Amino acid sequence: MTARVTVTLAIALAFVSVWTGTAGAQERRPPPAESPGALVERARAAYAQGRHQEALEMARRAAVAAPRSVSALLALGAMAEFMGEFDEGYQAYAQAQALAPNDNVTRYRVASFATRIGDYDRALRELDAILGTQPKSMQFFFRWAPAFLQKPLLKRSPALEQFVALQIDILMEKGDVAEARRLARRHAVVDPGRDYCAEANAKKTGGGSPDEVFKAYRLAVLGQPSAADCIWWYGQWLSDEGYMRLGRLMVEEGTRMTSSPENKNSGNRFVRIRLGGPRPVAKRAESLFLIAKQRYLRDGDVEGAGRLFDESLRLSPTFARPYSYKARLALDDGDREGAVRWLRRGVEADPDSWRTWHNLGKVLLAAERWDEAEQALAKTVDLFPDDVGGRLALARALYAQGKWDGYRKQTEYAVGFARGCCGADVVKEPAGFFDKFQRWGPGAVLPPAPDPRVIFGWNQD
Amino acid sequence: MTRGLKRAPATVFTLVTLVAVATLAMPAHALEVYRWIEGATVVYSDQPPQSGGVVLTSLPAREPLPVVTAPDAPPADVPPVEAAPAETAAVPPAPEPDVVLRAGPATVDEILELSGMRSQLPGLVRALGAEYLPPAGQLSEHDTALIGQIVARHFAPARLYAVIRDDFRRRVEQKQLDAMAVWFRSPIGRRVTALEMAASRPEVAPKIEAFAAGLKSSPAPASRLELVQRLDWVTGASHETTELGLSIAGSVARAAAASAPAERRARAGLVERRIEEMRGQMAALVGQNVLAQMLYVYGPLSDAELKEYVDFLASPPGRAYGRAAHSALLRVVREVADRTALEVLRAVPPQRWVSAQKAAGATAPR
Repeated sequence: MTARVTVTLAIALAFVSVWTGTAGAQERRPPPAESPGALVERARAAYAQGRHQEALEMARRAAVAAPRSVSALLALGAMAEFMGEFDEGYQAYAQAQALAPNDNVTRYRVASFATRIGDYDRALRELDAILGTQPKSMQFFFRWAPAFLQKPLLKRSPALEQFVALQIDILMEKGDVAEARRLARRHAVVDPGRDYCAEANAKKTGGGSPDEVFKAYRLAVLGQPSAADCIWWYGQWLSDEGYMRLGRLMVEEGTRMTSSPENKNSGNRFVRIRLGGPRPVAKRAESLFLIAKQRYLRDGDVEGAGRLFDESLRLSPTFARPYSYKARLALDDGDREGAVRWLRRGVEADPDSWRTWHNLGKVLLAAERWDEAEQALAKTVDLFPDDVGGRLALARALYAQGKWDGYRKQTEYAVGFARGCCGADVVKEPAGFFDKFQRWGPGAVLPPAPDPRVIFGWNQD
Repeated sequence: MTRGLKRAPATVFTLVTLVAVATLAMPAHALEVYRWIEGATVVYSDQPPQSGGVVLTSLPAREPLPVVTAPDAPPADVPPVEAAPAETAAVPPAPEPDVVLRAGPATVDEILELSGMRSQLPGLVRALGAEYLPPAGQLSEHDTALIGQIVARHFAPARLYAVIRDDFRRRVEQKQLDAMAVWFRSPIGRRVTALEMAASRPEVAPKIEAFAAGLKSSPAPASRLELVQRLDWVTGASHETTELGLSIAGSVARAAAASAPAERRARAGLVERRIEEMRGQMAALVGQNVLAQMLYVYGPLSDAELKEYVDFLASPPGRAYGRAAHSALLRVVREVADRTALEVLRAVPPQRWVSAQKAAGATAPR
C-alpha cells in the first residue's frame, strides 16, 4: 500500500469511526445544523467532494463547538494532517488521546500521523498498543499462526490487512527492510518462491496502471530480497512521486544488492543527483512538500502551497524540490526573474540536484538568456548525460548562439538515445528539425526543445 | 462564437508580410480556432464550446477598418494586378514600381518599398485589426463603433510603418542595406516582389484556397516542394506566422484576464501557459498552409529562379533582411495588440459581450 493510500484510508477510517460512533444518535434525530455532529458531517461531505479547505474549516468549527468530543477532534486532526497543518493536527490528536487514551481509532490515527512526520518508533508503539488490547488468544493467533492461516484471516478482515500493511510501511520507512520482509512473510503478504519481480516487470511493460505497477514492485521488494533491479525500480518510482526517504532507502538497497559495478555507480549517482546525496531530507519536510504539491496542483491553493513549501525549506534547507515549486509559483505570477532566483537558490542549496539545474536551464532558455542557459544546461547533462530534454534544451541554447557543432552534437546524442530507449516518436520534431539543418544549414527559427518523459525515476519536480 | 483566425483579404506578400498574412489567410477548413468567454477568461480551442459559448469576434460580417492616412503614409492599396486564371499566381507584368530604381546607396525606405512591405502593410494591418471587431449585430452600434475607433487608432498603418522603419534602421547597417538592394533592384528580385504583391489582392484569396485544395489530388513536384520547404526554413515563415496569430490571441486572453475581478483573475503566468499551449496546435496547420501559399505564389517562377530567391534569403544580406523585418513587425504587432485588447475590453467589458451574446442566442460557428 502506498503512503498515499494509507493516508487516504486512514482519513476515511477516522471519518467512518466518527460515523459509527454517532450512528445511534443520528438514527434517532438529525443533529441541529450547527451541532458538532452536523459540522463533522459537513466536513466529511466537503472532503468527499474535494473541497478540502472547507472540510478543514468545518472540522475546526466542530472542534471548537465540542472541545471534548473525540470524534470532532479526530476529524480535525485528520483534516489538518491531510492539509499539512501538522501542528494543528498534532494538537488535535493529542487532545483526542488525552480524552480517550485507550481508544484504538485514536491510536491508529496517531500512528499514521507519526509515520508522516517520521516518528516511526511512536507509530510502532501505537500499533503494538492496539494489538495489546485484543484478547491474548487473538494476539497469539495473529502473531504466530502459520502463513496458510494468516492469508484467509487477512482476507476476511480488511482492517487487519490494513493494520499489517501500515506496520510494514512503517518498518520500511524506518529503514528496517529485513523486519518488514519478515512481517510480510509471516502474514503471508508474500509467498516464498514466487517471482514477484517478473510479475512487476510484466505489469510495467504491459501497461498496467501506475498504482498496480507500484504495488507489484512493493511486493517484489518484500518477497524477493535479491531482486536488485526491481528494488531499484521501486526506489526510482518513489523518487518520481516525491517520497525522498523511502525512495532513497530502496535505491540504496538495490544498489547494495546488485552485482554489477556499473549499476552500483549508477545507483550511487542517482542518490547523489536525484535524492540529495549527503543531504538527507527530513521526513516531515518531505511530507509537507508532498502535501504542498497536492494543494497547488489539485486544489489550486497557491497561498497554502507556498506556505507549506516555505515550511518544508525551513526544516530542510538543502531539499531541492521545493525550490523548483517556488519557482513555478513565481512563473505562474509571471515573475520570471523571481523563478530564476528560486532556482539559483535551489542549486546553491544542493549543487548536485540535476533536476534543479535542468529547471533553471529551461527558465533561462525561455527568457532567451542563452549564455546562462547554456551554462546551466551543460551542468545538467554533465550530471545526467541521458537527460533527453536537457540535451535538447542545451542544443537550442547553442543554436541560438550560432554554435552549430555543439547543437549538432547535443541533438545527435539526444535523438539517438531517445530513439533507442523509447521510439522515434518521442523526438519526432527535434529529429525533423535536425534533418533540415543537416540538409540546408541553419534556418531562421530555433530548434524545438521538448522535454519528454523517457525514463522511470527521472521525471516530475 | 467564431473562428478567431480565418481568411483575410490578402495573402502572400513579401517575405515579411507573407509571414503575417498567411496567418489570416488560412482556409476556413484548415484551422478552426474558436474563441469565447468562460467566466472571466477567454478560452481558445479547436472545438466549439459545449455550453454554447459566447462570441468575442466574428470576421465575416464586419466592415473593413478605415485606412488612416498621413502625409508619410504608404499607399492604402497596391495597383491592381490581374490575377491569373491558371492554377498558380499570374505572371505579373514587367514591374513598374513607383519608386525610381537607384544605383547609389540604398535607404531603408527604398528596401521596404522594393520588397513590397510598405505597400502591403495597410492590408496586413487591416486584417490584424479586424480580429478585434465583433460580428455585425452582436454588440450595440455604440459599442461596435467604439471598438472600431480603438482598433483604427492603434492599427494605423502609417504609425506602424514608422515604427518598423525605425526599428529596421537601428538593426541594419548601410553595407547590409546595399547588399539587400542588389537583390531587390534586380529584375528577378522585382519580379518576385511583383508576384507576392499580385497574390496579396483580396480577390486572389479564393484562388489560393482552391489551389491548396487541389494539391491533395495533384501534389507539387518533389523538386518544387523541396524549394518551398527550404524557403520556409530560411525565412521561418510558418513560425513567424504562428507568432503573429498568437500575438493577437494572446492579447485578448491577457486583457480578458486583467479585466476580471481580482478574486477571479487568472494568474499571469497561467494565462501565458495557456497561450503557449495553442502554439503546437496552430503551428502544424499554419505550416501546411504556408507551404501551399508559397507553391501558389511562386508558381510562375522556374525552379532555377525560385532557387535564386531562396539562395538570396539564405545569404547574409537575405538573412539580415529577414531578421530585421520579422522582428520589427512582430514587436510592433505585439505592442499594438496588447494595447488594443486592453482598451477594447476596458471600453466594452467581457460581461457586455457575454450578455449581448446571450441576448442574441448562441450562433453556430461560421
